[in-house]
Amino acid sequence: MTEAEIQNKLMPMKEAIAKFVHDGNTLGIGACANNIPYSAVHEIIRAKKRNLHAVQPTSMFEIDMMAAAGCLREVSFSWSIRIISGLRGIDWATRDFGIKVNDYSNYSCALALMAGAYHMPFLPCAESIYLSDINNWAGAGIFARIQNPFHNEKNKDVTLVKAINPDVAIVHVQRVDKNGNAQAWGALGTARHTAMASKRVIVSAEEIVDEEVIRRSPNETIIPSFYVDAVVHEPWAAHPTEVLGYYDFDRISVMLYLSACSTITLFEKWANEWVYGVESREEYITYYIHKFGFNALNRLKAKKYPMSATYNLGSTYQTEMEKLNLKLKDIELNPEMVEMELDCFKSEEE
Amino acid sequence: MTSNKIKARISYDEIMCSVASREIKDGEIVFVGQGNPILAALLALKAGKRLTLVMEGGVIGFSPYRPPIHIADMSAMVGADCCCEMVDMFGMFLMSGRIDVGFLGTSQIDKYGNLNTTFSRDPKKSFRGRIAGSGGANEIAGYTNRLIILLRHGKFLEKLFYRTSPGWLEGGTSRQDAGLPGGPAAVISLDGVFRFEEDTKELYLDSIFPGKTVQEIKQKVPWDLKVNPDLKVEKLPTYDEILMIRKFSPNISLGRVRWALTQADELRRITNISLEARKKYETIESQSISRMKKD
Repeated sequence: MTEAEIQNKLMPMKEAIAKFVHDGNTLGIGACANNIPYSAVHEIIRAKKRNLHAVQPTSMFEIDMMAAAGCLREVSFSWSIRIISGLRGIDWATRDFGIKVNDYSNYSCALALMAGAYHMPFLPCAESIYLSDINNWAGAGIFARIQNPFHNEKNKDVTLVKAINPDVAIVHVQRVDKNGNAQAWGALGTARHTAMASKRVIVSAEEIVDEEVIRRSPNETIIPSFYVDAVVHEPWAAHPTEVLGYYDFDRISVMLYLSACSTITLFEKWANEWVYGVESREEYITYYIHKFGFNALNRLKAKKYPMSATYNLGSTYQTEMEKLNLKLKDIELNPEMVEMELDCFKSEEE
Repeated sequence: MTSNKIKARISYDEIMCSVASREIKDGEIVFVGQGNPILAALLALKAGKRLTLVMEGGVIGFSPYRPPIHIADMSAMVGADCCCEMVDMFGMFLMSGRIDVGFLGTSQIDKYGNLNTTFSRDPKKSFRGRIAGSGGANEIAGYTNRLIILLRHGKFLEKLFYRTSPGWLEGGTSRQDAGLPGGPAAVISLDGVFRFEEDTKELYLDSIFPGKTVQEIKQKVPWDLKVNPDLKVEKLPTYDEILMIRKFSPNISLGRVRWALTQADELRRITNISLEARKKYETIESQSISRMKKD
């Protein structure tokens, strides 16, 4: 990767979606219930992307929104929030826009993404899938049943789930450096596997930090930089869901959406206000403050920061030369060496 | 023994939570979802049982400070023992058979404890057919040692329209033959507790809640429901339990309609406060601007 490409990874969400999400793509949403990249989802709706295939095990409202906005042709998911009275976007959108819905369970959908991430064609999934209608109702090319090659008995058959390799993944994390090393903490859902399974990855983050900060806790890096194509600095990108250490689930925004998703007219009214009515996430939050005030936003902010315990990442820092107590001239005495003429580095020459 | 009786109004939801908490034994690992199961687990914790609570989003060993709204709630992640990925949660921890108790809600249940949470009616005929979906229910029902089903709004049906999660399948030894461990242990509705017969695995009424009658319960079940010959009446929750439930999760006691009203109140309160704050902010701003102009 050239210097220029690394520099170019930092970009606004508008540019990232325009550059990497194309009509007809399979879109992996790398989040389960928390850290949901709503900023990217809203931008996809605003950019009027069409015929997408959305993949995500547990969806809150993001698939619902995209379905209602007419962005989707196919959905692979296992759960979406249920409203006791009234319809969701996905209900009327499947009828009006002819969306194909593939039902999974959380584990089988996570396994499909895991298989994609490990570059396997499929993975065996739980036997409970075979014993349910998830398998019986699934269309071709999702689940398959084969004889276990290691057991010849009849009742040792296994159910397989086909790998999913999305064209592009959208992931929201706590912090990232400008190269794209993304760090997240808390329940991770399927963020890692969704990103690794995808050809392109767009990462949005609450904070952009120095590489030095990333290197101080390398175990928290869930996506290494060479997977990442776009880095977007987007505070509040997961609103109205939560980001551990930053902000909480916003019931008011959720209620606003849930009361608006039952018909296309209500949805469009909502979308005109919160999606099409604003240009970026920054404007969305400014509008939120304008509508509900600073207190409404402040009450969501994570109050206490129980900082993670520090641990030593140090080493002895003793090089092999120091360990063996060798000088350069000691090594040069090896009789097996052949004398040759070498170019020296300029700095050493001087 | 002197008894201290206090008159209190309680809801069947509260009785359900307290009965469910007695299903959990000391030292168990409990797979909980949002809503009533978490309350049951917290009541068990309060009663001195040592439990490890586990949530499907990837949180292990947590004790939330408020009722979690979804499977990876911030309140649960704060101060948890371990946070991991969803595939680890199911693949390593659940499928290894280490989870003792699992809780599930459902909208339809049949004679043998099979559950439907995906379609309430034919999606080809009605676009209103789809409900929540499986989520983790399929594997939780398949692999926890004892599954406890909380039936708040669910229906009993002779035959399910769609089987999302396997219970005792076709009864008898069909579940064992299919190679699944564990199985449903109890169904707790707002009327009473149902259990499964040892040999046939058919649902029967084991105990009822105070104020409910067998006749009333039988009307809700489409097949001829078997009833335990020595039918018990469940104990009422203690005053401390009720207090704990109400403090932790007022929405259980308030009921859905009043809960919605409090939500609307919250919105009004926040916007009102913010209106005042905004006015204050605007006056401060206008003052500073006028001061700047003077300078």
